[in-house]
Amino acid sequence: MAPATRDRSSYKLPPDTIASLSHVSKKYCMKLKRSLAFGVQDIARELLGYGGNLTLRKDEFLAVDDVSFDLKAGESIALMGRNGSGKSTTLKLIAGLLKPDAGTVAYRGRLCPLIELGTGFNPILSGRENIYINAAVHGIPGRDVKRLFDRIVDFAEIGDFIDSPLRTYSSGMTVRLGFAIATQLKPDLLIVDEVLAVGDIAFKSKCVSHLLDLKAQGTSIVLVSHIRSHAAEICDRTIVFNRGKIHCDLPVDEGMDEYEKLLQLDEDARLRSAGETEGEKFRRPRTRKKSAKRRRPRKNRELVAGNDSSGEVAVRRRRRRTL
Amino acid sequence: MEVRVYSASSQVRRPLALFRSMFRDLMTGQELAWRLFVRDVTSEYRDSVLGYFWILLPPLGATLVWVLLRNSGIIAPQDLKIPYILYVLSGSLLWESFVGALSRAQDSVIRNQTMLAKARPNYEGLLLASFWYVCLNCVIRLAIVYVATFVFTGSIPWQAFAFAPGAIFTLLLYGFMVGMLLAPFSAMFRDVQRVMGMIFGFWFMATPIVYSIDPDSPLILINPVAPLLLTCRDLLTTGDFDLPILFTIYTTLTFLFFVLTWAFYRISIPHIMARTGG
Repeated sequence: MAPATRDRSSYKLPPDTIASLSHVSKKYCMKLKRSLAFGVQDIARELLGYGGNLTLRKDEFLAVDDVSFDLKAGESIALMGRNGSGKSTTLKLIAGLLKPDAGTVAYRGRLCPLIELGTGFNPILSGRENIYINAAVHGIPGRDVKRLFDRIVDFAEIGDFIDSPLRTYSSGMTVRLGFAIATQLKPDLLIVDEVLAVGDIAFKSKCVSHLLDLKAQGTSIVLVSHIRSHAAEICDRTIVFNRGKIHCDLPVDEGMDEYEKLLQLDEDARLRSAGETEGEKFRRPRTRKKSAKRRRPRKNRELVAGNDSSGEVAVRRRRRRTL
Repeated sequence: MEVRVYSASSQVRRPLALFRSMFRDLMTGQELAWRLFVRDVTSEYRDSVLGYFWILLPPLGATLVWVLLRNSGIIAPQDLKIPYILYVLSGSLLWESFVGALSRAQDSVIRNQTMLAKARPNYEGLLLASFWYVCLNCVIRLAIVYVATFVFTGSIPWQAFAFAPGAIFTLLLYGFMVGMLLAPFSAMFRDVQRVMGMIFGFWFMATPIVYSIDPDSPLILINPVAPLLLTCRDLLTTGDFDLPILFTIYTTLTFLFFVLTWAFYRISIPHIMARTGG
């Protein structure tokens, strides 16, 4: 398993809580080469006994900023937010794929991260061989796989192809197999990162129904999805992320309404800023001497430049076009 | 149910907890290691015509070249206790095993990058699978050395069975340790692999594989592979043990630093994934 300190003495996870994040932050660097150099620096710091710190170095930003929430046993939450708002980083922090720069992540029981379906699959090997390998990657013992092997194959609808090399499978078959392995073995905490976005409609609905079954059997689920119906069906709470921070933590429908409001606000701000930029462009003083013909205002330029509240007309026009 | 905690604090501050979790994960990672080992062994040569012969082909080819060079008088090694062909063949096979161990550990992060970034495999399972793979290749090479020793000398010394496997294990462990030390940097900077490609050429020439050398030479003192490889070759072919002190020193240091390097590898993986994992 990942290098967690199994610290049962100093960190107390309440008995009814399956996972807990306490003031967790994670920073990234925008420039690749600098990021790699910071990586070496961070390894050296940890070897010298220093913990993570939140001082931002050049080109660094907080991808996850002081995030705290608890997940009760059997509860499911949806993490929502725009791209780059910190949802996937939060999932990776819960799964132990990343080390937090501040704060603590704790969970209880067997966790299964579904960040990408079919991790560890080898295209040369058969579906049967890949089932055992993928299960082992998720820490599932072979005896459990043997017991549930037929159910996995049935769920994935692989049938006679089970002994064929994986490279002969369609992408849908591979995805179904990956999902079946991870979910048939009933983890205590399942982390799902937009994997329901792949596959056909029948597969998606089958996955949702299976997740509901798992939930009914006590599995807690953390779901990242942009599909409202999936989140509404599976989850009890919605945590909305905005620029690395938790914007709100509400019951599922209220949370999603809030997310949509946030999206609308962002869109309005974007359009307003686009309009302002356009307005600025038209009002920019010209440095070059123009001929009388070229200085004659065009129709749309008159509309924008003649309006006192700069750019508003352009915004309205653009919005009409969008609608 | 077990509670796992990931915090921002340095794992070095609690060394006992770190080493305890390392050894515990080594135990729990056996199944993953076995599955990955079987996967690597079965998939490596499944679409190859020559299959496992590829393990032997490079050192056999190299031996042929060096024997031809010696027969044409370009190189003239002195004071060999065994036929030159056996000297080069056993040396090349041991060198290939060492390089294989180093490269396998060095590439372990790159090879499993997707898995490390998207799932949460047992790190020790990944390392163990790589080490078993290296050991399997080495056992195949070792069998060839036994056969060659019998063919060219008429007998196999008892030390070749009693002590040589242990000495070879140390050689592999040393290679694997250097590989683990390089693995995090190799995953982040492509330069490391290119530089190592150059270093292997010099290192090969600095190790008495195709030529003989005085046991008191400084080259043997500063190059840990030399005493380890020479001891392995001597035990396999003549049963001699010419460099006991150096071999003991380097073996002790290898075992000691191996555990520290393993801890370094484990600590560095999440940092690498934060920089390279997508």
